[in-house]
Amino acid sequence: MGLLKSLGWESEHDWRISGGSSGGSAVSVTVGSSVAAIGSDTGGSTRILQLCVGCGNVDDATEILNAIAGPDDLDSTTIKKQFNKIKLNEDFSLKNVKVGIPKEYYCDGMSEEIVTTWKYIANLLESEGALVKSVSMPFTSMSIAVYSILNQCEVASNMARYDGLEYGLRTDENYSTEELYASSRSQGFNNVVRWRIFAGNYFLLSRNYDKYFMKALKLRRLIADDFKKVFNEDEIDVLLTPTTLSDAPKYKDFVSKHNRDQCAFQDYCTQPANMAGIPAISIPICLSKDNLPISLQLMAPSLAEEMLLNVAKKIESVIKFPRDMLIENE
Amino acid sequence: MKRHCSAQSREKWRSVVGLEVHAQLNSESKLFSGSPNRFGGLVNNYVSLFDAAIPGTLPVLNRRCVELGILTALALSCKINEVSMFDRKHYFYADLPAGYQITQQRAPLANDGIINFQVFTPGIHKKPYKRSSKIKQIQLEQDSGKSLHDSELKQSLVDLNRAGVPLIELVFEPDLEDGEEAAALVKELVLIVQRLGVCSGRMEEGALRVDANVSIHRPGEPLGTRTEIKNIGSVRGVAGAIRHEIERQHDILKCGGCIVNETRAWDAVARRTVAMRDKEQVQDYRYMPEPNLPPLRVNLMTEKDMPDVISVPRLHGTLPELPEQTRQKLMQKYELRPDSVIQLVSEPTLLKYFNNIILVNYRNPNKLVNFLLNELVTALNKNKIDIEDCALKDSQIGEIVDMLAKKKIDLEGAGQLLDVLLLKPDVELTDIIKEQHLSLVIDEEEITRKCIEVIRNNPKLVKQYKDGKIKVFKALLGILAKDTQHRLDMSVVSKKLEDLLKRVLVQTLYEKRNRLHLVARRGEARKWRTCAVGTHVCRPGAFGEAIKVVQLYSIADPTNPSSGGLF
Repeated sequence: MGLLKSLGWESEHDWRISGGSSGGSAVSVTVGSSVAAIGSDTGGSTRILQLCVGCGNVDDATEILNAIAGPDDLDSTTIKKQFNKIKLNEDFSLKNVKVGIPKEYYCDGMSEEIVTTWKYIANLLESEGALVKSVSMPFTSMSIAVYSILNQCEVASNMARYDGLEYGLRTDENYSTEELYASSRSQGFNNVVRWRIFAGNYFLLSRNYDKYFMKALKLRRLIADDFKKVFNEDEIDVLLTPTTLSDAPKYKDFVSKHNRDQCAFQDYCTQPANMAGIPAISIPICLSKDNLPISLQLMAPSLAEEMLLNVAKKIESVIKFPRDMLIENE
Repeated sequence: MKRHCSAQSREKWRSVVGLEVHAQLNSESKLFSGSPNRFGGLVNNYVSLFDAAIPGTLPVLNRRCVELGILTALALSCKINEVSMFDRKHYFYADLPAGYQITQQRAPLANDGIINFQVFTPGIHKKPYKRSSKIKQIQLEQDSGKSLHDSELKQSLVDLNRAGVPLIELVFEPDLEDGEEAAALVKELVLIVQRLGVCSGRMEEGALRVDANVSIHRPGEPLGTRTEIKNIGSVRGVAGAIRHEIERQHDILKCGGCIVNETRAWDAVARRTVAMRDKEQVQDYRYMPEPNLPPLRVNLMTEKDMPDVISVPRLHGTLPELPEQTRQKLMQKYELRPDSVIQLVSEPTLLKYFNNIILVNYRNPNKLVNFLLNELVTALNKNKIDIEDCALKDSQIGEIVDMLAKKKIDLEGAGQLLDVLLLKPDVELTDIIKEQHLSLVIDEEEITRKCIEVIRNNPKLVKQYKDGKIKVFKALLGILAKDTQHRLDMSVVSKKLEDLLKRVLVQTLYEKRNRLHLVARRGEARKWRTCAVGTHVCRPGAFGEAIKVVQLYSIADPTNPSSGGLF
């Protein structure tokens, strides 16, 4: 984790944040040091950085997905059914594909450019024969709070293994094992991680468990139910939303806000998909007035990756986002 | 200063004991990883990346462990839950690499069972009595590694071989009363898990570990504060630790003190419990669902087994006969006594001998049981051989039992036979008997001769016997046995001796003018021509002179009047 600097855009103090925790993976691809990279996207980190860096296309994403998807005996959370490779259809037609526009995703602080882009693509899809419909997902705004609690609890738990005994930083503290743990962990973690661990442990205390953790799980169910309703009752095939509320923030703007608020701000659109456990993809559409990429997000029901990627490819082929620009600037 | 409570004041308190048992499962590999599940290997050699909590590793549930857990739960009449879940229990300790243990706190594998057992400790209980303890839940969980603290070098050493080893935890309700009941429960549980093949039950290796929760209260009042005792390493340790703790709590409360809710360790050498420093603060384990494991589902309805869903009914069909069932069968089929059966079933080696030997030659079950429990066990103990390591063949023991039945040797001789056989199992029985003159003498004439010899040589004892001191009979038998090096069939001898003693006449004679006359007599009167001199006593009396009073005995043989003689 940490902040990744963008390359060659602005002056020394004005560089842009390239995105969330999985930024390293994407940047490595952009600069050419790796062919492909995987990042874990718990809150939108991979989708957002994709926006900021603007690398890869739907074909690449499909290829990687086909390579890694399917049952894994050593991962108990994978579905134990045979995975059929996704085929992208060159002649895919958007005719009669139902596209949902969730109105709650239009929120305060969203930049005009984003909204315009959103409307533009919605109209584009309609012109290609899709049935575009407005839908409601009332629990969207709960997502950030739910995510905060669950994420911090998992961080507190997953980071418990970093004691410096088997691997990692181990300080020279030798007064007692407890002191060694405290010293290694204080020095080895930065303040964001330490803050999340404290918060997570607080939520997991037995006196707080029901109030926070259980409540968060219940609200997560409601968020997931929002999607279920939209996909089943309203019969939507894909949802179209912005990916972020604005283009890539400047470093000085980013650090002026508390990390929690930053996340709340930037993750608003991408978070709910994680809560519902559904596939989502972010596609660069155009450049902002600051010449930074603006993307939109598509979301589909669980296991409907084929539909999702075909729609994404269709949009991509129609838009023809100027990728060549990135290479020139290096 | 140790205070002794009077029995009266002790009766006013009731003690309450609840057990928690951790048993290591007998699977090939660990609960969530593929590293070997083995005891006693080179340190840190059975550790996979997952066991060392290397980032990026995930748990995969071991199917065999679930089967073993289900078998145990079924044997203890538990309700198996169709869906159970895994949780993380967080605490920091050097032997817990991940900083949490994966367990099943919220939704365990099984609930609401019961264990039935008999309580009988020879020497403490006069006869066995039945008891049961309810089981609150059975759950699967990981074991931690082992840490050794070297206070001299101020170092802690961590061995992760045991980290991730599969455990089942059995939580019992606090429905026992004392250490003996707890020990009996543990003994029964060990037998059950051994029968099922679920766990080796070896407490000394840490395969089965018992923690005891102990409290005392006055009848009618609510339960007292409990303490938890850990580090108990044997079945007898369970009894000793709990007994000590009850006494300790009683002593404190009697003096007006309070019991602190704490964890104490059992020190088997000093035979007392000590407070454990580390566990003074109450821990909040911050339980959280394990996100990397889906819920565990089992099939409660059909016998269809699938790769990821185990059929409980199918497993139920594979349950072997349990110890209590074996006891009932033995008592019914062979009419054995409850305490014999309890002791027999509690030693699988002896039970095996019994079951094999009883089938041949119409051997007497009671005699066989007694031989195994008494003679064989005594011989093994004397020669410092563990019962499980007894190298004797079924045929050898069977032969000895047959010889005892035919009175070719007696119990003493059998003991000697066993001593030799245990050291040299390949020697022929007949050879040993010949060499050590173990054959029993059953010739009646010889027996009679020997009896008479003993009677002659021990006039004082015979007189005591005839005066009414029946206990002396044993002494006479003992002398007889010793003199004859135990070669006589003592049951026959006993009868013979009794018979002969009945016919002994105690007569007191006096010597007058070199002639002995009868003074007092029982039975027929005899005039004796010869005499042997005994003690002298002055008897004032009719004849007016000091006379020697001689106490003599004779054996009168009604068929042969002259067979008696003075001696």
